[in-house]
Amino acid sequence: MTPIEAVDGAPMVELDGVSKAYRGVVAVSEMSCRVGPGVTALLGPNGAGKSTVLRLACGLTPPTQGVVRIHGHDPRRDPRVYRFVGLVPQQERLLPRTTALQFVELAGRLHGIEDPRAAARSSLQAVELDPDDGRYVEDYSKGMSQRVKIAQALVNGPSIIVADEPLNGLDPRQRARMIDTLVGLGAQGRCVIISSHVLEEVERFGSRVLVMAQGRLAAVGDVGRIRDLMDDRPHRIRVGTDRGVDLAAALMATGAVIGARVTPAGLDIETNDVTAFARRVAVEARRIDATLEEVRPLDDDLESVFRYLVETPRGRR
Amino acid sequence: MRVFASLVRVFIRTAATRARVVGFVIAGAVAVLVAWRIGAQPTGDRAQRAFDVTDVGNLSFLAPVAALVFGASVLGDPAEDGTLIYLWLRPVSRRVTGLAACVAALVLAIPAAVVPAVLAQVALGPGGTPTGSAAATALATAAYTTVFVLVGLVTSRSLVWGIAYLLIFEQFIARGGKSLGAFSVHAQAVSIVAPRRTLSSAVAYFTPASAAAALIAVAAVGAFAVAWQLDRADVA
Repeated sequence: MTPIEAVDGAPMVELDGVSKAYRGVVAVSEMSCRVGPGVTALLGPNGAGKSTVLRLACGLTPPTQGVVRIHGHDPRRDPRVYRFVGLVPQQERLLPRTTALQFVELAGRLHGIEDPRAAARSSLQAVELDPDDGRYVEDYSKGMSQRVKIAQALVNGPSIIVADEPLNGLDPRQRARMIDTLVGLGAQGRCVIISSHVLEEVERFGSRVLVMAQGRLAAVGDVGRIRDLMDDRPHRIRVGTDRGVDLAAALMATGAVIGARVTPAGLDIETNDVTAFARRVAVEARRIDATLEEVRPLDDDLESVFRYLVETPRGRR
Repeated sequence: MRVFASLVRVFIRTAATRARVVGFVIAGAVAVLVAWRIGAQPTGDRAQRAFDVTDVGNLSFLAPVAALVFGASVLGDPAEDGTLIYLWLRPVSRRVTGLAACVAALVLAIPAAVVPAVLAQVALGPGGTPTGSAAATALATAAYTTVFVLVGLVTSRSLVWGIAYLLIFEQFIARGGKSLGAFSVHAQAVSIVAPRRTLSSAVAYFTPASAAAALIAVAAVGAFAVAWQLDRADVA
């Protein structure tokens, strides 16, 4: 096949009004974004549509509506576009009865590179795997398989690297190494798109973040902005106490809480100011002679942030 | 060419599991043993016996089953377990990938069907028709194989659909007359090996030349359809 060139001025990856439905169920809805050099993270809870967006961005699945372009080309129309793309898919299976060297060499050969064996050896060494390991890849640990997947994605030096949950299965040292590798690739001017449902993980990439929830792009920004969203939203806190009704009334009177509900498990309160609540709750409990058994957040996780982003009208963000 | 050869090797490695290979070696050996036992019986029309062995043992069983097992798995297995992504997401024409899959399936299915067919005819002794049996079995296997490669790509229960097609259409509906038989791989293949009207066959409707041409056309259309479907595929 004759090589294909990037269209001058075109974004590296572009989704324009893209929707995807599977048998009537909408997985991604009217998503538009442009992704350029550096690391970009797709962040969202499980089922938010991250993997579908990555599959759309690579052309693995055609959009129901809208257009996907890689360097200005439609990947569904011209497979030559894939010389620009290295994908680290989420699934664990690798080709059967194949050594790591054979597997990565095959990727290099299919990309038409000059010396696929040398490139495969170099790519495996880059992810700290022994190219001469004679074992089949199905005998590898999860972490080693993950590194083989990354080696095959990098073997032809693509300008776009797409990695679906790339840190899955890696131990802490390997995670740090993988983050360094991907951040390094981004710093070289490559477009690195990763997906994750763990904010702390994304934070370590220091990347631009596209937050997805329920198939929609819920927010865009850096990790700091996402952190702000976590802090700004109303928080729900469970207070274990023997005098729920009295404590609720006392806290409401101080203005530290905006809502309260007495439940069999205790008192669930809602507050916009966690710091003020934390200052008042013990004081009020002592004043009315209530026993405090526990004070714990009910929604201090990403799931609730995503829920908040989806349920909040766009104008308020 | 290096890309094509690499893809064929990968597809062969994918489809030729030890269980499948051993299974077909045993099935082939049984077919040959049965033919040898039939050949050892002194009575009966030898030409008819040779035809029946080819029809029942090879064209109705080994050829379609080998084609189904290897054809449906060559793209079906990687599509099912997600490893197709490592072959699909490359700057390689879908025609090359599809053709490589069909060639790999043929490399596995044709020997699995044709070698027992030839050995069975040899084992029959006088009256055996190894050349005709080999030709009919090879062409039938080729036609079945590319169709089943396509079935493996488009359905997740390709073995079930394949068996249903073989039992319901090939062995039942296609026996309903020449117009239905025209769409039957089995009827076309039987027509190659049973040119003499004196042989008793329910479905030998066509001339050997037209039947051979029809089977080659089915194999070619199947291969094109695989490439077309790969282009449209939703890869997991």
